[in-house]
Amino acid sequence: MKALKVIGKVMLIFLPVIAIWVFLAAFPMNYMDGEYSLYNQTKDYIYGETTLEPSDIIILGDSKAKSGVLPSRLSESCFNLAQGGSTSVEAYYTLKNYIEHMGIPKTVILSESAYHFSSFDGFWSRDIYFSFLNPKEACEVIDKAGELEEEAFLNSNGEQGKLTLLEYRIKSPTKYMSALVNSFKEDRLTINHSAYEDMVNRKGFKTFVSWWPTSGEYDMEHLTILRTLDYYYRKTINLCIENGIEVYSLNMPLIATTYEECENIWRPFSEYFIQLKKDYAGFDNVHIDTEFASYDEKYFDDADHLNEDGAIVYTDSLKEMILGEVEQ
Amino acid sequence: MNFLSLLFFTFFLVLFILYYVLPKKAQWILLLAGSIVFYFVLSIPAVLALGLETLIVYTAAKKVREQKGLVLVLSLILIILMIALKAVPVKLISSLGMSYYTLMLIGYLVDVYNETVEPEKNYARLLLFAGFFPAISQGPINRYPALASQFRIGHEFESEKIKKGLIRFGWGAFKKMVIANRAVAFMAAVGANEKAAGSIVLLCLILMPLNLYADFSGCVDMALGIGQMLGIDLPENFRQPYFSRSIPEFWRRWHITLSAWMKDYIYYPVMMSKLVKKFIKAGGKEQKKSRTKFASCAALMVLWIFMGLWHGTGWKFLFMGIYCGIVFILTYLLEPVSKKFDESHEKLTRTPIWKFWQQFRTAFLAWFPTIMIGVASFSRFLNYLVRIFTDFRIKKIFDGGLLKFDLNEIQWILLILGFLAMLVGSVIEYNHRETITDLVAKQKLPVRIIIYWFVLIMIMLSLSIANTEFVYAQF
Repeated sequence: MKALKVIGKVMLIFLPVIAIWVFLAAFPMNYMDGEYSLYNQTKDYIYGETTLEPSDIIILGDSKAKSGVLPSRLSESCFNLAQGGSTSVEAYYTLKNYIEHMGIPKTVILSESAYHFSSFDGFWSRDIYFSFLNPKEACEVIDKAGELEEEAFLNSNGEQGKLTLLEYRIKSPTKYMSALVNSFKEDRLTINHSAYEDMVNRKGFKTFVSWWPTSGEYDMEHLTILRTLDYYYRKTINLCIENGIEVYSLNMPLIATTYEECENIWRPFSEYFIQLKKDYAGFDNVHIDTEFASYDEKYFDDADHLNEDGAIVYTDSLKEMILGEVEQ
Repeated sequence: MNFLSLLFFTFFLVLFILYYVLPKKAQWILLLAGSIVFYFVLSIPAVLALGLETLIVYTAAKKVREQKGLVLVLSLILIILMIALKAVPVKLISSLGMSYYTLMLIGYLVDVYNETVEPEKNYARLLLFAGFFPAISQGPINRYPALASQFRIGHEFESEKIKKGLIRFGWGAFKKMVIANRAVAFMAAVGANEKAAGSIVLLCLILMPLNLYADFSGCVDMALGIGQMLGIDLPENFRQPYFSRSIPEFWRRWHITLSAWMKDYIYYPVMMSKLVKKFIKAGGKEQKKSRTKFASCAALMVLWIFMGLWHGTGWKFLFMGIYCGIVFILTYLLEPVSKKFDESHEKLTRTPIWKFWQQFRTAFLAWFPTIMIGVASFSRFLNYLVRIFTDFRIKKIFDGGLLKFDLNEIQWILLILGFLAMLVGSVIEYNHRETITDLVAKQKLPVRIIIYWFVLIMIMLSLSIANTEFVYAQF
């Protein structure tokens, strides 16, 4: 009886902690930042948890791909599953889960910028934070990065591998209170619902305006292709090959000036794709682009991302390329 | 191991359970093992340095009464070593925590020499005294008789004491997380921005003492709370210093254990030394008073310069020591004048306004040393002053400019709320002459619950701010 009383008292004292923790775990749409609904909608779609039909063409890649390809303009059956800050890691698991739950698409368009070959970027801050990857998938990535001696790149923000993973998994307030406090300033539930709806209506298309003035590649001194990201890029292509999917590895257009100023990045990046093309030369359904198109500045929202006009121009050129090849 | 980390909570939970399950005779051994583990996680070389220094003092203590010069020589060597290690970043021997345990061990050695303490026969017990984990990295600076005697007796599981320990720990965590971490985030952002307006720089300078007090007293509260949960009482280190009415009173209320140590082991020995006695005697009866005053001032200056160097070896710490010495000496010399004034203006000096003026004046005079601890360097401080006087731009505080320095509106509201709570707590402690922990523990459950919930919610909301290292862990 005395023990029960003590337990009751402790529960009463820690009631606010319990209540906040439950809220964090149960109502992410109420406090997560705007990008959560983008990841969440993609996750819902690839796991077959929406009423949306499967698509023949899916787009995988980073924010440049998300803002660069207009699904409704490309095809009637197309969905843009690219994510801001994502790398080939997310591309692979997105495709894997899509095949598992929605079936095999006919065509995959794959596009990652140079920056997303040299940084895990949103692995912790987006994939794990939003629970986009499940624990098994996250552990696979951590193990692979460990095996290839790239933990330092994966954990560059002071994260500590699987221990940190657990903190995110149990929705520890140590990881999510920032978002909750920031949600006091704006109605994040409405913002998230609206962004989610927008994702559904525009089939995953979204324009971006970065807060930084220059391209992600602009600040890089030289290009370092991380072995883990190369591994997952190839794994994604291999998954397409195994399932008979037509796969296009493409490079999103750049502003002409950026292209000129970052030649130290584009040249080796182009060489990487030339090698990749050689490696997959025997596969007819694998199309690897080794060139970089440059567009006028007016087609961009910022240093990296195409605006809607730019996306129209690029999607039309893509349509011509894909349909042309399909017709052959 | 930071007191506010998951690692520490796990470590302490295991230690706490074992502590009350084990036979009482073995409790001190567990504490020693726990302290070594705790310190080991902080720094492996630091454990070796602690073990070595304790061994030197342990051996010397046995001979110190026969070889009278030993105590002075060894104390000087340890002090020079401690200060030198602050100046030279020697990776092999870490100075982490050294400032605290060196003073504790010197104090023990002097006490043995003065025959107020018997030399410890067991090296492990002396090691536990020097390295007791709650106090190792930021104090309080313990005295051997008070602490070692508590390790010799077994401690029963006392729920009331544990409750008080938990409250004390929670209050310390509140100060650190709600106030200090936010203030640090703001101060760091201002420090990193060369174009910050003078008005914002001034606000940063005003926040520095507040941050230092919340950080340091918060950490000591946590240390004391941990000790209480293990049945061990550590000495108080703060007693509402910002309510002091004079500089000497301020230093009796701020970092109490360090000030007391300096007084007992530097000021008194210097004043009682043969050299000083000879100097006073040489002046005859007529000059005795003035020579005593002069010697006292000199001893105070030595004490404050050492106090400054104890914090670090940069110019800013030397200036800090000299400044404190000058202010302290002036207060000492002007004391008769001040007393006369108080007596002749009794009506005025008894009013609350006069009391407030004295508190404000003291806080203002004590502002400089806390700023010296907060700023990166003396030149940075001068740069801040230049900006305050040449580029003040007061409107930057109100036109949203303030929000560009890492704290948004909500974080500022939480910081102000936290500060008000600390102020209310301090006023209550000051008026009741009791710690807030004891006062809260006495309240009825519903009142306690409201206080607990406020503290817990504020701490939870403060998880949104990165936890920083304790300021005094660097000394």
